[in-house]
This record gives sequence, structure tokens and C-alpha cells, in this order.
Amino acid sequence: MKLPGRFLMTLLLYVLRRLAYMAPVLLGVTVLAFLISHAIPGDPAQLIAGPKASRETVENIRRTHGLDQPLPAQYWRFLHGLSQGDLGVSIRSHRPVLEDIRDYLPATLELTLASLLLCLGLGIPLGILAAVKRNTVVDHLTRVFSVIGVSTPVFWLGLMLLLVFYRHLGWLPGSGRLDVTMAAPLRITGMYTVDALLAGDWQALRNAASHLLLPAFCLSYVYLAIITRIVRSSMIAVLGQDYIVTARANGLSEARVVLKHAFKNSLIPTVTIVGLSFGELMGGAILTETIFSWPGMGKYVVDSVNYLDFPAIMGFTLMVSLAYVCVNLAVDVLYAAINPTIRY
Amino acid sequence: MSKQLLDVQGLSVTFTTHQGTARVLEKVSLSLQAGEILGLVGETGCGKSVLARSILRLIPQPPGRIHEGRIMFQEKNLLKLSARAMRSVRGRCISMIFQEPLSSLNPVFTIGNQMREMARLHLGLGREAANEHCAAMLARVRLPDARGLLRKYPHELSGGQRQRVMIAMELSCGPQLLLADEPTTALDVTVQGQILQIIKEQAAQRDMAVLLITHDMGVVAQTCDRVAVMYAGVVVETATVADLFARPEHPYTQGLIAAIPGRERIQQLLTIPGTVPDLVTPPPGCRYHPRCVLRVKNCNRIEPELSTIGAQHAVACHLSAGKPQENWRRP
Ligand SMILES: Nc1ncnc2c1ncn2[C@@H]1O[C@H](COP(=O)(O)OP(=O)(O)O)[C@@H](O)[C@H]1O
Ligand SMILES: [Mg+2]
Repeated sequence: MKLPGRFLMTLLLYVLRRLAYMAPVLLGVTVLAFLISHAIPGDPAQLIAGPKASRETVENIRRTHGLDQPLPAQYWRFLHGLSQGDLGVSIRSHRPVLEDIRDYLPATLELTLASLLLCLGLGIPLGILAAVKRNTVVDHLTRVFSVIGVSTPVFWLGLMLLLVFYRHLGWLPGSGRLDVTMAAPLRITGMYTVDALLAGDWQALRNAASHLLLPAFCLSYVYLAIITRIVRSSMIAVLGQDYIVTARANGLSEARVVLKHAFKNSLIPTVTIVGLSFGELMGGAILTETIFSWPGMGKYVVDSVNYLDFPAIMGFTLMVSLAYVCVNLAVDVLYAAINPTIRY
Repeated sequence: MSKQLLDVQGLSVTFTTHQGTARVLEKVSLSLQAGEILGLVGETGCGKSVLARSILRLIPQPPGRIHEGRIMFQEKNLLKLSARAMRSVRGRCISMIFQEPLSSLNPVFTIGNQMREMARLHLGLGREAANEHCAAMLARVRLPDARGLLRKYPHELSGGQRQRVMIAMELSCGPQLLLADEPTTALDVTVQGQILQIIKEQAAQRDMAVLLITHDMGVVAQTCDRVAVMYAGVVVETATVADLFARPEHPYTQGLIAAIPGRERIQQLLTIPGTVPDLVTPPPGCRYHPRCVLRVKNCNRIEPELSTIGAQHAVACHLSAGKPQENWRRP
């Protein structure tokens, strides 16, 4: 698609403005996360030191992590570190939080993004098919597929997938991100499939993708079902519009009418929910990771909360929010590119 | 008489709805010669749009169904064409413009994108040639800055501009017949006149026939050569414009003409009492008889045939069958 220069210029300004808005949003997120995590009763120093530790040891831990200081001072310390790209040291793992994030977040992002891709890559064609073949067997089948999707509990679905595809058929691996015998591809993004692709390492790509498939499908199914239904209904609405009659009256083929004229219009409501789904997927990833032993941030974050590991909680909250805000920015840009009546 | 360009014979169309099967068109016949502008008038819901869409076979099936009849266009029955052959007629030989110029252009593509697509499909032009051609078409409907316009989206244009774009687009492949479904109803009066003027001009220049659907007798008087009057899915009268206004034969036509505002009549804004009948169970006999002030015994039993009563004048009314016209004036 050839975009006019005027469009690119306004787009750039828009993205810059949105990036500027991001700072206060993220700052707000840190304040909230800070307040909420400190509102939970409990003493992290005591939790870390264990029930038998001496008062002195506990005091020591408290001091090294600055937990003895008043809350505003603690928050200030966090901000100060943040401004220098330092998220502090985890109380539990004694490692810089940034390193923990670097280890765990890419796996979760990979899972979430793969699920999002599945949602779109399957949901959109299925929705179109259902709309075009409305009230036929095809439509009824996709409806059944969707109803199962929204009504199946994720843990049950995960177990069934493991049972069928791993245990009985043996087609796909049941846990982890790579075979243990396989070396991880050169780290660029930390997402194995992406890194393998960038490195041109097809073997690693196949292996990583086969590990990714079951958990990604498990995580995506609910949203896949929802997106299928949304695409179907928006497509049906669009196919009833006057400009579709015009397109047909102009002699265009049915494929062109549906895949060009109707499709782009039907994307408008679809894109809106994609950004929202991404947040839900990130949240849902925690459960899916547990089922498939996916070494993502799920278990780490749950443990951090249990131990009131404030720096870890703050760091991950910030990163997840950042990912969410970025995806939504991308969605908004996409939205504007599809819908010309939106101008910034 | 020269050969007809379009000759619709005994066309019947039904729509299946929850209430039952609506007989939306009942044995409709009409014809058009090259270069002729035929007005199609009638109240909302009488089946004008369905008729136009049936000609292009754009009735959604189901719920719609074309039961019988022939639609002869250039000696070919359109109802017998394959889907592919029909597509090459659409937009190229017969094109159509609609009432709502905003909703009939795709909001997410530029004017140029939509116009070029059609020109490339039917005329086999390359991208640049298509661009050239479309800009020239826009200029012909008196739209300034055609090049700039091609880069705009429909929402950036006014209603009148959009309708001109529609006309330019639909004329771009040189159709022999234009179906214009209330092209000016959604526009304000001054723009209305300009649009009709453009349609008239283009029809004359290209020797193109136009089926101009409207419910406005004023538009008919201004623009058309002949008129067909429809009532509840039936063509009740066809005549030349002059004849129709001078000697309206069907009581419904007489009512329509009397209802034109500004006519020097005592009842300046006479509207026809009663409502359009339910098409699922249309009245027996003449569909107009429940509202007709002149009805006689046979009207609710026997369906009147459309019969010729003069040169280019035909009417479907028992009162007119074989009688001199002067006997039946409005009371
Ligand atoms: N898609 C459809 N489904 C059911 N009924 C329809 C459909 N399209 C048109 N009709 C019916 O056909 C009749 C004629 O409609 P139309 O041709 O749009 O009238 P108009 O003369 O105002 O253009 C109306 O009674 C309408 O209810
Ligand atoms: Mg209509």
C-alpha cells in the first residue's frame, strides 16, 4: 500500500505524542503497584529469613533492602533507580530484577504473541468463512468450535491437549521451550522462535515452534473463539452495506468483494478488541505456563507476590504494562491505517 | 419502432419473510431504447429498487427469488447468463447509482482506488492509464481538481460531490444503460438540479439509456422522456412525459400528479388516502382498488392487464379498457 507522505508525517507525530503520554501512564502504574503491594500485610524480611532467624538477621535483611525506611523514601529510591535503568535487587533471588526479567519475560511474551497470532490467523479466516457461508454447515461448525472455546476451562483444555497430542499421539512435546538436547539459538530477543528465525536456524525454529504450539493454542482458544464471532458478526454487518452492493454492481468478483471491500471494513471492530485481548492473554499466560511447564514469568511473579518481593513485583508490573501499552499503541496505529475517518 | 435496448417482460419477484411470501414485483414489463430516459415513479416500497436490482441480478437470494419473466438486454436474456457473463455486464454494459452517495462508496478506500479498480477490470487499463481515465471522468462531471480528488476518501467529500463521483465511476466503463435509483433524493434541491443535469447531458452525449427511479414527479417532468408508474409491485401506466401530465389515465397516476406541490389546483397538497397494501396478501383484482375513488364492480375481482391506449401510452385499469380517454377525468 502506498501511503501519502502527509499521512506518514502525521502518523509519526502521533506516535511520538503517544510515547510521551506513556510516561505518566507507566508512572501511575508504578504508584498503584507500589501502594497495593505494600498494603498487603506481611514482612518480606521475616519471610525471607525464615521463622527461626534471629532478630538481628531480619533487621539486617531489612536494612540492605531499604525496607526500614518510610514508604515515600522507598518509592523515591525505586524511582531513582529506575531513572538509571536499575530496577533494584530481588529480595528473594538476590539477583538484579532486570536479570530476572531478562530470563523470564521473553518466554511469556513469546507465548502471548504466539497466541495472539493464532487468534488472528485462525479467528479472522474462520469468521469470514462463517459469515460468507452463513447458516450453512460451515457456519454451524464454527459456532460449535467457538462455543466450546468460550466454555472450556483452560486447565482442563490444557490437560486434554497434553493427553491427546503428547501422551497418546506423541506428535508434540509436552513441556519446556526446547528439547533439552538442543542449544538455544543466539539470544537477540529471548524469544526462541524469533531468535531461531533471525539466526536462520531452521532446526531450532521447528523445535521451538513445536514446543510453543500446544500452550499457545491452549492460551488462545477463548480469544480465538471470541474473535471468530466478532469477525463473523462484523462481516455480516458489512456485507449488508450499500457499498457492497455497489462493488457487486460494478462487476467485481465475489472473492474481491469479500476479501477486499468487506474485509477491510470488518477489521475495524476486530482490531479494537485485539489490544484488549493482549492484556487478557498476558494474564492468562500464568495458568497456561503452569500446565505446560513453560519457563515464563508466571511462577516467578506468583512467588514474588507470595514473598512480597517488592522490587520484583514492581519490575514485572512495569514491564508487563510497558508491553501492554506498546501493543495498544501498535493497535491504534493499525486502526488509524485501516479507518481513514480517524485522524489524530 | 427501433429495437429495444432493454425489454423486461412479465417479471415477477418474491421475497420470503417471516410474514410469508411477499409478491414484490408482479408481471412487470417495461422497455427502454438507446438514449432514452425512462422515469420510474411510485411510492416508497412499491418495488422500484427491487426492479432495478433484479435487472442486474443483485437481489439477495434467498430471501428474494425471480420467478418468471425475461430481462432482454441487447437481445440476450440476462436471467439466463452465467454468473461470470453477468459480472461482465455489471458495471460495463449496465451500471447503477444509488440514493445514498455516502454509504454507496466504500469508506476505507480512496476514490481513486475504487474507480481504478473498475476501470482496470472492465477496460483492462494499467494503473497509470486507469488513473488518467478516472481523472478525465471526474472532470466530465464537473468536479475540479480531479487528480487530488482521486486521493481522497469518501468522507472528505460533500454529498453532491460524492454523487458526482458515483456517476463518474459508473459511467467510466461506457455503459449503454444506467440504472439511477433515486440519485437525488438524499441531496438538497440546488445540488439535485445539477446532478440531474449531468445525468441528462451524459445520456445525450453517449446515447446512453437511463432508468431514473424517483418518487418525485417534478424530477420526472424535468428530466425524463417517458415514465412508468408503479403501484405495489405492478406497473400501472406508461406514457411519454407530456402525455402523462396532460392525460393521466390511471386513477393512481392522477392522484400522484395532483399531489405535486405548486400545481394550480384547489387541493394543492392532495395526498392519496390509504396506505400501500401488504404485499404478502395483496388485494385481489387491481392492487390499487381499496384506495381507488373510481373503483367499479370488477376492480376487486379481475386483475387489469397493461393495455395500449395510444401511441406509447399503456395503462392497467378496467376503466380505460377500450374507452376513449376523455371519459375518465379526475372527479
Ligand atoms: N432484502 C429484502 N428482504 C425482504 N423484503 C424486501 C427486501 N428488499 C426489498 N423488500 C421488499 O420489497 C418491497 C419493495 O422494496 P423497494 O424496491 O426497496 O421499494 P422502493 O420502491 O421504495 O425502492 C418492500 O415491500 C420491501 O419490504
Ligand atoms: Mg428504493
